[in-house]
Amino acid sequence: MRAASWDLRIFGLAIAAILFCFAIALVYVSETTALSVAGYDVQKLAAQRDELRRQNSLLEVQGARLDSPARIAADAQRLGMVHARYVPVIPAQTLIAKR
Amino acid sequence: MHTVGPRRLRLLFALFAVASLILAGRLSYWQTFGRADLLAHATGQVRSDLVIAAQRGDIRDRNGAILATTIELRSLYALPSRIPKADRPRVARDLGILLGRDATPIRAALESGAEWLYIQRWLPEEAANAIAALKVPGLGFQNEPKRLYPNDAIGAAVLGFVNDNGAGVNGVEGYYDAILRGTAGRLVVERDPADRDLAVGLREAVAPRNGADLVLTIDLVAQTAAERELALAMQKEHATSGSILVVDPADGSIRALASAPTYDPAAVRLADPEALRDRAIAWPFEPGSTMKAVTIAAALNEHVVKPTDAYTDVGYTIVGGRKLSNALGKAYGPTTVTQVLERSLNAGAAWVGQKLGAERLIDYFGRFGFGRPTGVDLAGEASGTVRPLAEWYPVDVGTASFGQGMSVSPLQLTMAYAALANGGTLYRPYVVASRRDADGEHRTAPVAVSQPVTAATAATVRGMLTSTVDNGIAHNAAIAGFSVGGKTGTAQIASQDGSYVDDLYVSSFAGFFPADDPRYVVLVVLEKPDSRLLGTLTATDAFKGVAQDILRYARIQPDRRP
Repeated sequence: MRAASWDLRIFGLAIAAILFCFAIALVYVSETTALSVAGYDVQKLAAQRDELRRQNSLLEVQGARLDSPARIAADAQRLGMVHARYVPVIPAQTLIAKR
Repeated sequence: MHTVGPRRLRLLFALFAVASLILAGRLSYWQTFGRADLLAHATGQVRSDLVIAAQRGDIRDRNGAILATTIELRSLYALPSRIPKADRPRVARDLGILLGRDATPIRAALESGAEWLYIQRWLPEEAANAIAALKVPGLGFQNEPKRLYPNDAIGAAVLGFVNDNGAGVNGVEGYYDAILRGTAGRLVVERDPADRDLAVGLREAVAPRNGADLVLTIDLVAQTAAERELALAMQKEHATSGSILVVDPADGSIRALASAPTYDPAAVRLADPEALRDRAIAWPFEPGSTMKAVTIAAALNEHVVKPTDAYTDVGYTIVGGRKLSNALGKAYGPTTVTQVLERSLNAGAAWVGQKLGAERLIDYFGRFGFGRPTGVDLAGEASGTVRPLAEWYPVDVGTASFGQGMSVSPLQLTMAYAALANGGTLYRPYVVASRRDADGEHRTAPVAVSQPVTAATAATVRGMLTSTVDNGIAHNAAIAGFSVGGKTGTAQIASQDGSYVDDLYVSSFAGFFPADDPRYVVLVVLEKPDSRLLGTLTATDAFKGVAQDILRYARIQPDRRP
């Protein structure tokens, strides 16, 4: 009777140990899964960041195209304007002397 | 009370023990002897070894305007097997409309049986967005780096281009390829079946080192003016080629460099191979009368003549038994050295050259940088030719005095005039003002190569060249309100056998402004202009067009009454 009770205790302890290990494994797996999910989120955000950077670069190039003196001159020509070959410049000294 | 029999318990325990032992043994095996195999097998399935390309550096003008940059554009690919057969004609038609292409080759590609293929690489954003909105299964996008030049063909000669292998060719792209390119990185990660990085997996990364950004000495406004004026001159004269250079004489920095014919660096495949040659640095031509200023500067520096020294011009001179005539053979009578420049007299230049002597003339050509590369930081420079003294015939001292029998590049000639404009210092020309990398900004220091003539000689020649524009042959280059100095040049073109081709010329004008304190030196060269001997008029027109734009843009005050 006493031997049977001892065996039962051992059996209980073994079951408890298995359950404990299982719980630890469960926690580990859930943490790993959470980490993986977070990793995927990080990747999504990194991809989003890269796409925004790309869009920003495209806008910079578009800005450079719009600022291009050659493009502005071509557009002005299309609007009927002509390039002024000569623009008279009044020397500043002359203006200062008149004041 | 029900109890478990000890025998059964022992049996169960023994069962667990044996199972545990087997498991432990197996685990021990895989952790020791079998570990390497298992690891290699497992890693091979999930490991991904990627090369992370370095971003090619940007190129900007001196004011920060983007001249060249690399951007990831979307390339459209197809997995034809995933597109239902019945839908393929419609998909091809839609893609044809959105890509502005004929639908037939697209349909043929979809029907080709290929597993994976590009439909079109580097799509414009609008087209990529429109195609993505179609949500066609079997179509996808892949980002690919593409070199973009927002100013199209403007500055093509100075920028160069990047070929399909990502290597820089010609110009700054070629010369600074190693610096612009950077160093690729490496990323080793474990990926899941959906090809996503595993956050808990193996991760080894060597970050790429992006290429350095370059800031050029080029000014986009001056560059645009130079390109415009060159295109106008080429169009007017039906010239076969031409070049315009704008240099700051104070340090040798190149503000504009235009070469024609030109090309769009973003579409090099469509370019004429001859257009890829940068005429400004790789076109040795016979300079003609623009060299008279160099000859006279050398003679003044050696004190063999003074500006007021005179000879009697009879329209020609005999050197080494050969008759060297003025253009059109005209005689001018008593003529000073200053008037030799004003009237561009070959006989007068030969007279000065003879006084100087062949040995000293060659020496001064070398001092002014002729016959060797300038060392400009652009790929593909030519050195031009100045024959050594041992190869000279007696007549050569006369012909070389007015720029015949030798060849120079437009850049060499510009730098020689820059030396005359800045007080006698020959600088090494350069186009990269600074580079910016992870370590910070590195600025280029101007390099003075030599002092071919004294400041006094340079000032005297500057005055004589100003007189050439005010009172002489280069009067068309005069700009109201500003002092301008310069010299025209007309040279015949030598054929392969060494004789001159009839009625074909190279017309040029080298000038600086404001002449009293030169801020810019501009050279215009046109090959085979229709106007022939009058091609210099078009060259001076182009000079004026560039100069007036720069004067306005740089807000340079007039130094004369208009």
